[in-house]
Parts: sequence; structure tokens; C-alpha cells
Amino acid sequence: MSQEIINVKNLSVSMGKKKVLDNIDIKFERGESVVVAGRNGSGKSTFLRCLASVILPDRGQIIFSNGIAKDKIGFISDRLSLFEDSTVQQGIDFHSSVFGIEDFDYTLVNELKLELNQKIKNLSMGQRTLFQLSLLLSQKPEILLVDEIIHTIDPYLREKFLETVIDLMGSSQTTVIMVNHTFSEVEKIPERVLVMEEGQFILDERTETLRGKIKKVESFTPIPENIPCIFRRESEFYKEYFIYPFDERLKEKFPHEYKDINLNDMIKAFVGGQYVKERNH
Amino acid sequence: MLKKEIINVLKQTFYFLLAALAMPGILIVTRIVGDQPFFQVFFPLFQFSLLFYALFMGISLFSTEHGQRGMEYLLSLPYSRLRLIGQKILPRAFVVLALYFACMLLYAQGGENAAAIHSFSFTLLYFALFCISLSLSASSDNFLVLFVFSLFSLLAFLCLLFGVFWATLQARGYIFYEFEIRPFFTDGVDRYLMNLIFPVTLGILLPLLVSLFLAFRKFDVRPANTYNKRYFKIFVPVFVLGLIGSFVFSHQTLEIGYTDYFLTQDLRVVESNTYSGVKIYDEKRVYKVNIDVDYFWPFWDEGTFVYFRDGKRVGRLNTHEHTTEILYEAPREKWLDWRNWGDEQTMAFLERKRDYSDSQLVLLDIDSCDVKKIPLTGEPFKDYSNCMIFGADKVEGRRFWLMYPQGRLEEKPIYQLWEDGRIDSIGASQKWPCYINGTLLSYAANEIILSKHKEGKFEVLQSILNKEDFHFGWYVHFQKKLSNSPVNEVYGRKIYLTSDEKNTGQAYYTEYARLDLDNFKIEELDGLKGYLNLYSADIDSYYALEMDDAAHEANLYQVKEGTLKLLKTFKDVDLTSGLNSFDVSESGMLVKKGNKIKVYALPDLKEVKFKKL
Repeated sequence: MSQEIINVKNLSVSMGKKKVLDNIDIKFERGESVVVAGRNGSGKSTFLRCLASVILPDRGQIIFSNGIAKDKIGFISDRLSLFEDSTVQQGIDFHSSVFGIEDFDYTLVNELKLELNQKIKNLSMGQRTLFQLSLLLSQKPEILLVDEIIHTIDPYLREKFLETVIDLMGSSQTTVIMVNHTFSEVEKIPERVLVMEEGQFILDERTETLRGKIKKVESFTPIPENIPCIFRRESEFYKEYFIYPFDERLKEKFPHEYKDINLNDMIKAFVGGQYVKERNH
Repeated sequence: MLKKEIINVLKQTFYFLLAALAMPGILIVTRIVGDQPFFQVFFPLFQFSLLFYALFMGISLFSTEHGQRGMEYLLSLPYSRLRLIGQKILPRAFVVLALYFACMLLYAQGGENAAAIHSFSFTLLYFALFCISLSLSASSDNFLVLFVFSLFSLLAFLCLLFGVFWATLQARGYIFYEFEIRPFFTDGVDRYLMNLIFPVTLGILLPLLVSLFLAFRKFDVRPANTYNKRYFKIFVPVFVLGLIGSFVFSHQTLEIGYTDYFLTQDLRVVESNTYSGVKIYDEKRVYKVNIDVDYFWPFWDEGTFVYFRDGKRVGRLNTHEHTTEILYEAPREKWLDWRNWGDEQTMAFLERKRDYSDSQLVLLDIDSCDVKKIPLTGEPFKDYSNCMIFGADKVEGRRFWLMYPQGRLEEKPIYQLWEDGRIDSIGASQKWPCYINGTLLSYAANEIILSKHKEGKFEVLQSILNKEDFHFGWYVHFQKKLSNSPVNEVYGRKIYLTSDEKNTGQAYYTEYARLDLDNFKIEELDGLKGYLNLYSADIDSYYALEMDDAAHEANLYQVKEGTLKLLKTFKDVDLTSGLNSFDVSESGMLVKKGNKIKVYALPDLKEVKFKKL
């Protein structure tokens, strides 16, 4: 039976006059892996920062289930925020003292061959990401928040990062909420997909359900108007339509081949669809 | 977290102290400051450096996080915002305090002579800078902006501080008080403003800290504008409240100079203060009067006039028309003695040079303003030129004035100065003599000598034993009219130092006695506790105020023929505080409790309400 771990109620956040998060209501379950997608400036990172208490809501509240204290929430920001002038060892010591970690696990640090007296600011982007992950893992988080960082690191470290996250989910039922733009590497991770637009979630589906509900039609002729299409790419010789929500009865209206698509394309369709909508508007 | 902050702050402080010590060293070695001792160069520089360090301690609250891109990490730590800021402020506040005490220690050890800023002003600026910079620390991630803004805020703080003082001075009518800003930095705070400066500073600075703590509860990584909006939403009302509170407090408590009150026979109150001038209160209104005197000392009132004087002038104030006129002004280089004596139409006072030479008795006719001067250059005044008048009378149409030299110690002569300039030596007294109801009371060892005028000169009537060494009539300063009904009694006191009941120390005790001027018998007054003050409000009656310090009560009695008749008990008063005073005049009683003045009219002591008093 699923167990609720985060309950977000009427969450609103503004930056200046712009409402970045607009009255959001959403719940997350223990052990769930969620990916949040959306256009730039749609509010994804702000939402994640709210969950990490780095941004405090203007209105509404975020309720964590009993037993989840702030020290059980791990947050990796896209800015890879750490005290850069500290050495790796000082960073570990500080994090351990603040989070009451008695035996820090150096496995990841050793695997990356990080020198302990090296300053954090001298680490590469990938090393910093993995170093921060190692800090977070040592606090045994129940919620891990990752803000669009993996596409900035090299394929080896990206794989290492994802492996570690998958291990964590498997071993300790950690809820992982990731903000991402590219999904080719994380195809197998998310159980749930959220798409944000103008501070609200416009899509909230289980990944498997979504796979059944979104199809691609490749055609040389335009599809009829009554077929629900969220995004289309049309050229003189080739036309591509993303159908959502797909229903078997559509095949009778417009007999054609409805292809399954990968997560990356699904997200692209939704995000692209928003751009088109805005353009037409 | 706290440990990290402590290490950071101590490290910064260590570098600061190194620089503070090196700077004067460099100046001395390079001979830029000439051949001055190290401390003389070090201390003023240290004071200025400390001011900047206090500023730095405040604005650097989040500079590490901003500089190292660690703000998001900091805020994601498992601490509440208040705990976070508390852990950051604590080591800074400790260092700021420690450096302050170190500076004050150096100040006491010779720094006073080398200091660039007075210790009090330094204290104010130092802590103001720390509070201001602390409060602004979260408002921007730009160190330079914070630095400049903090300095401007300090300027604004000083303007507000002085502004509150200025507004209070204006509102309280202290228009003659010259408030200067420059001495504030060099000589410290004026003693009158000393009591106000801490509460007023608190009223201005506290809103800054309150706003910081309240706004920081919702501090996050959004652009500073979001935080600043919240900060100002809290700051503006709290600050206005603090400012109003500061003003109200200083308005209620500011006392500059000594404010004196005089109750006239027709129940008007004349208020005088060196810095606010003279005001007349009737039951409904207050009138300001312009009087060009050094200080206003009212000593007598008759009809609508209140007679006053200062060191050079004698004048009168019309309490109905609110006008004044100077009746007499001493010539250049001459001054009037503080004691004057009036009888009927003549006011008598002595004027002299500062060195007591060239003394003259000035007789002023208060109706015509005619002045007659009698020089005191004769032989008897050679040794005792600093005489004062203690009585006047008329014998067979010829007037005379009685004089006694100032000062204590030995037995001194009593002089009788006749209107034609003749001077008679009429005996001597060991205490200040008294002339009442035509009887002269002078003092020898354990004796009171009573003399009366007979055939052109004073003759001793009787000597009475005064074993207890009572001193009678010390309160008789002014004789209004010789034609008033005769007084048949005079009261005396003795003050002595003795061990108190619990033998924990010594205390002054006062005992009182009555001298019957009909049968010349001394009768002790028993049963009095505390301090008894005698007011010769009316030549025919006395009033006594008995103060019970322990009970904080004052009892007002009418004293007649040795009996005390309780008129009224005043609760919750403390005459020892200096803020309270009682004064009984012919028409009633004036009670001052802090800034509140109450008037009770005799004989039934019913309160007279003054709207503006």
C-alpha cells in the first residue's frame, strides 16, 4: 500500500510580480521516483527549492509525513551549492557535524579519487555533483531532490550518478524527485511524470499509463481536426503528430499506425506543445 | 555550524588585530607621524578600525555563503531560519563585545588622552554600526552596497537621534538650550541627555534588529527584492513605533536644568527654567513670558506681581498681563548677594564686586523704583565684608537693617546699619541670628541671647539655656510687612550624626523644638519621624512636612503652639529621589512628582486643576 510522504497544499511563490508557482496541490509517495519536466522558467526548480526549504512559500504549505525531518531531505541544486573555499575533508566534516553523521561513507569519494585536501572550488562539475551526492547519501535521505544537473556531467559520471540513485531507491525506499530536460539516460527511473507550465502542473501521470496514452503518428497527409494532437511537426514531405490522450477508438476515426514513443519524446511533445500553444495564442 | 562560525570569526579577528597593530607601527617606522609614542598613534587608529570592524562583522554575516555560492546549501541545512541566524550572530556579537571591552580597558589605561572619539560616543557609534550592519546584512549579496548603505544608515541614525533630542527640546520649550553636535564626538553626551540616549537609541535601533529577525524567518534564495519588501513591511511600522516611543519617552523624562515652581497668592503657578524660560499657568491656559535674566528666582509676590531676581537684576512679573519690568540692575562688575530683605515698600539687598569689595546696601522703592545706596565702607566691615541681611525694622521713624557675615566657624559680629549710614556693632553670634517680632535671637555657647530695641539700641533681655543646641528661625528669609500680626513663637532644629538602629552605619537625625516668644521657654517637639521641613508661609502660621522615607509617605501639618495638626497625607512620594518636591506658600501647596505638578489650595488643601500644567 502506498504511503504518502509529501503533501503540497495551495503552494504559491512569486518572484517580484511574477507568480512562479501558482496554487499547486500535489502529493508524493514513499519510494516513488518522479521526474519533473517543463519549459525553462515554468517553475520546476522553484518547486524543488520549496521542497528543500531553500525557498519558503508565499502561500500554502508543504507537509512532510511524520518522522521526516529536514535532515532526511537531500537536495542537489543545479548551482551545486557548497562552501567552495573548504577542502573536501572540511566539507565532509562540516556536513557530518551538522547532520550528526558518525561514519561517513568514503566509497564514492575514493572511487572518484578525490583528494581530501583539495578545495571544493577546484573540483570539476561532475566531481562536485558526485561529491555532493556522497554528502547527501551519508545522511541517509528519505527524499532526494535533484535539480537538472546530470546533463552537465560527462557520460561516465552521469552513469555513476544514476547507478547510485537507483541503488538508493532500491535499498532504502527513498523518494527521488528529479528535474530534467533530457530523459534518454533516465528512461527507466521515473515511475511518474510531471510537466509544469506557468507555475502549475499540466501533466501528472504514471509513466506506464502515459506510455499508453501518448502515441506518435507519422504521415504524409494531415490528420483530421478531431484527433487530439498536442504537438505536430509538419514539412512538405513528412508529418509527425503526437496524439494525446490516445484512445483505441481513434483508430476507427483515423486508421493509421499509432507508434509507442520513449519518455524523451513524450516530454518533448508536451514541452513543444506548450511553445506552439503560446505562439498561436 | 556554530563551531565553523566561531573559527571563521576568530580567524578574521586575528587578522584584524594584526593589521590594527601593524598600521601604527608602519606609520611610526616611516616617520609619517613624527616621533610619537606607539600608544598615541595606535589608540585613535584602533578606535576607528574598531568602528569599521563592527561594521564588517555585521555586513559579513552572509558574505561567506554569498562569496562561496553556498547560500542554497546553508538554507538546506536542518536548522530553522532563526537558529541559523542566531548561530551566525552569536560569535560575532561575542567578538564585538570582547573588542569593545578591550578598547574600554585601553581607554582607562591612558587611552583617554590619545582617544580620537570620546568613550561614550564611541560606544554609541560602535554598537549602532554593528546593529545597523547586522540588520542590513541579508538585504543584498553585494558587500560594497551593504558597506555604503550601512554608513548612510549610521548617518541617518545620528540624524534621527539628534532629531529626537531637538524635537523634544522644542516640544518641551527648552528654547535656550544650545544643542551642539560637534562636542558629542569629542566630549561625549551632555549630562542632561545622558539618561535619554540609551532608551532613544534603543527605540531607533531595536526596530532594525526586530525587522531582521522577523523578516529572516522567511528568508530564502530569491532575489534580495523579495526579502527587502518583507523587511520593509515589518520595519516601517516597527520603526515608526520605535521613533514615536523614543520621542514620547524623552518628552516625558527630559529635564534640563532645574525647573522651579512658584505658587502665587491668587493660585497661579509660575514655572521657571534656565533653558525654557518663564511660563505662567492659570487654571485654563499657559502664557510664555520673555524675561532677559540669567536665571529667574521669584522670592515674593504681592497682588498681581511676582518679584524676582538674578545675580544682577531685580524685577517683577505681572501674572495677569504677562509682562515684566526690571526694577533695578547692578552696575558693571557688581553683583547682588543672594539674600534680600523686604519690608513694606522697600526692598533691601547688598551689591558688591566679586571679591566682596565695594559693598553697598541698595534700598529699592518698589513703587517708584527710586534707589538709595548706603556704602559699607566703614571700619566694622573691613574684616567682614561678605555680610548678608537677616532683618529690618523701624525705630522712632528711623529704619535699620541687620547684617551678619557669611560662613561658619567662629563667633561673628552682628551689625545694625541705619538709613543715614551709621553702623553699630550690636553683639556677636555663633549661629545665623534671627530677628522676629522685634526680638533678636543670637547664639553663644549653649545659650540663646534675646535682645530687644530700647532707647535707640539693642539691649539684652534674657539669656536662655540651650543645652541641646537648637537653632531657631533659620527659615526666616523675608519679612513682608511689619504691620502683620505679631508672631509669638519660633521653631528650631538640631541635626546630628549618630549610629542608626541596626548599627550598620551612621545617619543624620533631626530633632525639633519651639521657642515661646512670650515666656522664652524652649519646648521640644516629640513624636516626629523622618524629616520635618518648616515653611514660614505666613508670618502667623507654620506648616511642617514630615517625610517618612521608608513608607514613601509625606504628611503635611499645620504647626501652631507646639501642636501638629495633620492636614493631608501624600502617598507614594520619595523626596530622596530629587524628582519630587513640596513647597508651601501662603495660598497653598505645590507638589512636584517627577514631571507632574499638583496644586492644593489652603486652608482645606483642595486640589486646583491646571489644564496645561
